[in-house]
Amino acid sequence: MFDPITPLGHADPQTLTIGLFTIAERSDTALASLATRRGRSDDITRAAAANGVPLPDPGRYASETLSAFWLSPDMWMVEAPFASHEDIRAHLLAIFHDAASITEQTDAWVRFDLTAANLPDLMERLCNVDLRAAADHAATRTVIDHLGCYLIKRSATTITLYGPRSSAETLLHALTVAANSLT
Amino acid sequence: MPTRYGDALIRALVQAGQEFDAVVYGTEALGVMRIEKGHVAGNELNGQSTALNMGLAKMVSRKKDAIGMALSAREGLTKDDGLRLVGVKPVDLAMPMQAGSNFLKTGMAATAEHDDGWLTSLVFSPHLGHYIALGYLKNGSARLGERMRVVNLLNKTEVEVDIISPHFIDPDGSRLRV
Repeated sequence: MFDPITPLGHADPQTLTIGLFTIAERSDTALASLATRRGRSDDITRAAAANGVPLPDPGRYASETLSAFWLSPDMWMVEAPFASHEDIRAHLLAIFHDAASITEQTDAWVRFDLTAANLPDLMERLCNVDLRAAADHAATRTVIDHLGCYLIKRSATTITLYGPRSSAETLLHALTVAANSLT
Repeated sequence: MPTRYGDALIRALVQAGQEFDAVVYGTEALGVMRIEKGHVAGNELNGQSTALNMGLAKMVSRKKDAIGMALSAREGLTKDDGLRLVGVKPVDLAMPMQAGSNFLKTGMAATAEHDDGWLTSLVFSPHLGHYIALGYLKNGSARLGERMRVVNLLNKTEVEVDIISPHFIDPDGSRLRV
């Protein structure tokens, strides 16, 4: 009955190619934050290991059955395929029960996947992350055009940005302006 | 309702509401309607205003104690020429007024010393077809019917206005009790 729209307001995710840069909107990822409740670290570690949920170290992203990146001490953002995990909170509750506080975050964010051989040239114009020095699977919070974002370096040529969904077009504008300046 | 379905939801609600003449409205419309009804909100609730200022003194029982009762009885807050909520409309209904303007008596020099109060909330009323405003006017409740000027001392604009009841629409509330 209800047709979803993407953060950029279309029926399908948009992909832009600007010179050598590809900026792809993604709406096929479900997100939830996972925070350890007081005194339950061991329970979380055990349940996560048994169910393929990585709990990466600070500044890191990791992928097993599901993927996750570090947000703050004892807190992670968990990624899952939207098609199978639209109600991601229910999936994670079934794993962690009352040992964690789990908050669905899926539609709070816009996800852009950026692909290019010279991504550091682009990102050094946009934020304070030293992408050249960052290892693969580095993940950090940063600010782009006054918007708080998460940046995940998936490989040398691909990063993911999560920015606030309601500012999706603003974030895209910042990305395209910077990309255009390099073409 | 996940955000991605929000757009579809509001469209479905609008469609489903057609047979009931349902309309969607937002905070701007709410702001216009509360001013048309003379309801005080943020601009009038400024941290200095009391129930007496807002024309709500009768709602505060003097027979019982309440938080703020002692303060509300202090001389400075109860004097006759204190600020009272009034309604304002331009004499020439085609004239727009300016938010932030001050009340000045007719004939007074346009300086801050002659200020008798100020416009707090100003909108164009689609129901009345002209600008209306709420304001705090010294001894305002005894001055309904007075003709004054609202003067913006910064922008140097001036509009002749009538001081009226702040209840612009349906003052007896009959439309709410059908």
